[in-house]
Order: sequence, then C-alpha cells, then structure tokens
Amino acid sequence: MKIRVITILLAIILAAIPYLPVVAEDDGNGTTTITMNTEAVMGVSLDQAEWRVEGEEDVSLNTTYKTDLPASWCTITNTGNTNVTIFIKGDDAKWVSDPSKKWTLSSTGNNGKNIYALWYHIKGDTADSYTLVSKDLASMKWTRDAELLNLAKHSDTQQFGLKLLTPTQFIGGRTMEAQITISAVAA
Amino acid sequence: MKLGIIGILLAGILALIPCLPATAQDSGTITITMTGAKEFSINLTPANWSFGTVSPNTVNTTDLTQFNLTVNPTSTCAVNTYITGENAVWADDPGAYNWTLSSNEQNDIKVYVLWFKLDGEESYIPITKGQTSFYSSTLGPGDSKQFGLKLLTPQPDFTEGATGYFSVGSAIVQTHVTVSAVVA
Repeated sequence: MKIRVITILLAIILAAIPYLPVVAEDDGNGTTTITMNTEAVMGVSLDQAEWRVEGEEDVSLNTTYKTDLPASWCTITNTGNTNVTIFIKGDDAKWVSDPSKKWTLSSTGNNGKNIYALWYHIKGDTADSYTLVSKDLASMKWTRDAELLNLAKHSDTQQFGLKLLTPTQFIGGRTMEAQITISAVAA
Repeated sequence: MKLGIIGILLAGILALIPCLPATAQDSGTITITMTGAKEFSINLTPANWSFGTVSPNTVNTTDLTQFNLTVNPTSTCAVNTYITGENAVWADDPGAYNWTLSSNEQNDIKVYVLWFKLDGEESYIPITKGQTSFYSSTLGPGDSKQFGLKLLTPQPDFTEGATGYFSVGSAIVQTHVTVSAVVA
C-alpha cells in the first residue's frame, strides 16, 4: 500500500517536471536608472550674534568662562542646500576705545599677559572636550573621532558652546571685543 | 522410430524459419509528444539616463525614441508588458532624502510625477509604483517599442530670494523605471 502511494506521488512529480521550466521562465524585466541633478545654493546662519561673557559684570584675571549653555549655546543652520563643512576662526580682542590695544588670541591654549584663549565644544561630543580656536581658519572637528563638522542638506543644524580663558594680566576697565567667524565651505 | 520423429520435427521447424520475420514485421507506432517551453527575454535600453540639472516644479522630457524595449528574437512566445516606477532617492544617502513617486499626476513638496509615451501614441501615461500596462497589445519575438519619459519635479523645499531649491544641492537624485513582461 505504501509503495503504491509513493509510486503515485513520484508519478505526479515526474509528470510536473516538464512544466517547471515554463513556470520559471515566464516573466522578465528590464530596468533603466534615471538620474537628476539638483541646483546648489550655499549658506549658513547663526542664532547668536553676541556673547557678553559676564553679562554686565567684569571678567577676572586668569579665569575660565563658558557660555551659559556649554554645548548648545549657538545653533549653526544650513540655509542653503549644499553639503558644507563648517570652519571657525578667532581674532585678537580689541579695546573698543582704541583697537590698537589688544589681547592676543592664544595659539597654544595657554594664557599670559594680554593673551587670552578660546575653545569650542560641539553638542554630542565627548563630555567637556574642547577644541582650541585660533586666528587661522580651521575646520570644526569632533574630538571623539576627528570627523569634520558637516551640514549635509537644507535645515541641518549643529550646536556648539564656547569657553574663554582670560589673560593672566590685563589693564582693567577696558571693554575688549573679539569676533569669531563661522564659515561654510562646500564639502 | 524416435529419431524419425525428431527428424520430421526439425525439418518442420527449419521450413518455418523463413516465415518468422514476416510475422514480426507487423507495424508498430510510437507517438512522441513534446510541448515547447514558452521562453522569452526582453531588453530595455539605455540602462542609464540622466535628465541633467533639474529645477523644482518643472517639466522635463526626453525624446520619444530615447528608450527602446525589445522582445528578443530568440523568444518563443508573445508577452504582455507592464511598466513601474519607484521613489527617487538621494544617491549619497537614500535614507536621508527622497522624492515619492506621485500616484495622481500631481506634484508636491518631495513628490514627483513620471509619465511615459510610446513613440507614435497620442498621450503620456502616468507611471506609478503599481503595474501599468506598457503596450496595449502583445509583443512577439523581435518586436520593439520606443518610448520617452516626462518628469515633473517636486515643488521646492525652500526658497532663497525668488528661487526655489531642493534640500540637497549639487546632488544626484536617482530612480528606476522597470518594464516587465509576462507570457501572453
């Protein structure tokens, strides 16, 4: 009885074999890849234009100050649509009454007489990690992996905060002003 | 006596031998049946096409002979053909930016429209993510059809001055158009 059942099953399978190739080969397709290129416009914006380090108070010698939001004080927004790398550049701080009187921006992170230092911290980077800002234009980087700070498309944002170390010596009573430039370069 | 009988029998057998082949030559027929497989292949050219730089909310067309679909001559059957499209994606980062293929011939922000038109036909037919009949009749081995595409880009993601832009610039946005065939 079992042999008979197996024989019948085999017979059905063998009978079906001639049709299998037909079923397997009865469709086909061809594909074309269509590409479109988009127009580019470049731009970034900052939502902060000023940092009054101690508000209306004076700063002290050899003291570190951070923006009130250490990691998210300023938001950079890609207002264009180009994948951009963000660059940063600092400057000497100048006495507003006589710009020839300066605090030099440190290139080493060490302060000194009329020498101050400035750093930034990118939101999401290693906690309390800061990167020095110098007078040379430099790409902003994450300390965790040295990756460049990029804003790939329109409305992409990134936040950062600043840290400042005042000189070890300076003449008090002078209002000093420095400018930081954030710029975007096509990646 | 016995030898005599055996001798007669042998003589009888020998006498019959020439007659045996005549008896075996009765005709026999073997019927062989075979069903030819329905096999086919199609070829769509070119494999790649670029619209170049496109602006938001604009219509772009190709020549009506730009694309060619051929049922290969070695095919053994006629086929019915269908055309489908896909969402378009930013080639650098498909998950980050894409355009949905419209299902109603209307564009929108991040929604684009695609049509095709067979050479010699009257009107454009929308391409959607579902199957649309490519050619109203069957195509046989060696048959070919030329066609063109029409693209309506999405509305701008943002405007700078009076000009609209997509969120990704200097970018390649890519999609696929597929023509498929099944045995008619």
